[in-house]
Amino acid sequence: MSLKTKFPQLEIKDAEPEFRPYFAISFFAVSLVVLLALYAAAQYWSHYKTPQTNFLPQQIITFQFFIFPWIVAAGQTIGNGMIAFSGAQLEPISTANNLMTLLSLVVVYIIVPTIFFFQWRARRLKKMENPAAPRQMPTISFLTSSLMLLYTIIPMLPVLITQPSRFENLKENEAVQWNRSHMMNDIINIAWSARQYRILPKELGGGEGSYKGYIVPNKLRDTENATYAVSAADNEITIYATSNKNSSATIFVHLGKEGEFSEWRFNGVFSTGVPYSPWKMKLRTLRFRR
Amino acid sequence: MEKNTIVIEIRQEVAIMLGWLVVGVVLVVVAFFIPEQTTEFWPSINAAGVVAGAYIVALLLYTLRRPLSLKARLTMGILSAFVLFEIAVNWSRQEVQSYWQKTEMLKTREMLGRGIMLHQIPGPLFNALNVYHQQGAKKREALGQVFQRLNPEAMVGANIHKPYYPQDSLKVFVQTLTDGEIVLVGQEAFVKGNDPQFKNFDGKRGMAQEAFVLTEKGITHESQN
Repeated sequence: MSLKTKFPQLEIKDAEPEFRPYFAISFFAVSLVVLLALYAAAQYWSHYKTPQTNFLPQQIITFQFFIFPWIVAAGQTIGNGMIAFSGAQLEPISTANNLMTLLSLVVVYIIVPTIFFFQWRARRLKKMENPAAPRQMPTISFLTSSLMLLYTIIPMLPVLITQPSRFENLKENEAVQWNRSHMMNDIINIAWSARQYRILPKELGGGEGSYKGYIVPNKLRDTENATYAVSAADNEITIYATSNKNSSATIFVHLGKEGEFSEWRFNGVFSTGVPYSPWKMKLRTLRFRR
Repeated sequence: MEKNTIVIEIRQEVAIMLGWLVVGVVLVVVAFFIPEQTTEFWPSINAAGVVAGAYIVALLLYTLRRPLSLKARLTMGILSAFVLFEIAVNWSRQEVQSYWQKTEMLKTREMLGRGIMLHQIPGPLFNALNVYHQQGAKKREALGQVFQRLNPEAMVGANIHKPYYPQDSLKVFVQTLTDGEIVLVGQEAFVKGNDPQFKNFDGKRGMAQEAFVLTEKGITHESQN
């Protein structure tokens, strides 16, 4: 027995619809319901079964990320950062995750567009050949590929618009937290200096058991992060810090006689975060979600 | 003997489409595995993404050729170009943002590590300084003797830090212990410092390290790496 493959010449002529209308419509409806059910299942899985682990390495890629391989990669990068933060060793990406990502690239960015564009061209050519012919029902493959393309393209549109402002907001918040953390480190340095002053005898320029008379050293009084001042009593000292990046952001803290901190107070953006602009508030009300 | 033959008729356009699919899949798979497989997805998916993008452009040029009408070609071409632009922009932004977030996380960890050293290490030094000066003008014990009495486990080269939790990797070594000077060196086990070639106290390279020197005049601090 041998196999022969014949390639007949392409003949464009009036073709009968592949399916009866009611069958095609019902199949389209079933496909849509199946896709929606898959999406709902993926949402349930990601929110209730794996609530906080979507971005950890070795995690099985969830459906909603299957068609966006860059989100999978971003999750991996951030997960690696969290692992490095905890001091654990990074592990290579598992074969399963590699293959899933490759599969997403192949299916969504090779197979689906190829089927879509070839079928679209065939339909356009048929229409051009016979404009008077009744509209042909789309094939299942054309419908499926169109739905997949729409599912890929539509969610990216709001991200394209909102992502720059969200990233800027993230950077602003990070800058505020960075400033706050640096100020706290400066305050610790001042607290040292004050505690040392309290311990040292007067012959060595100290307070000999009292904070009274303590002045913040020049190099600590005004840094790139903030400006610092103190109010010193015998057994307690209060440190005031005003941010040089945002003058409404201040920190107050008390230091006891043994050098223990108490009553940290964070004011301005340090307590409320970066306020949203009206534009950002409007975007939040649109409730775009990924 | 009669030969049985099976004839499979494949329409030409389907055959061409299959050919495109095979070529596209092979190219993307090869491109995906060309970069070295590391702990990040980006090198592989970027290589595969560039190949997939080139494939889609070639596919567009092929499927939008004549005899399609100019209107249909322009409409689909512009829409496709916009979609490709959308994907490329989202892709690159996500890469930039994810690397930025990772870098910020590591910088935060470094600052936390240094802050912990700054907060924890001077404690025993201040205690020794306080006890030493409470002796008044006539000192019975030298500063180093006071420190050693208050910290019996302190010997040159020893780690005197007791971890507060299982992941606490801070080490505090006694570098110098003399009558007039005590030097404590704080070192992180996995937080990188400024110089990757810096030789740390315990022999590692490039880790964050802070030194605290206690004399009778007080404590000075030096950020060594």
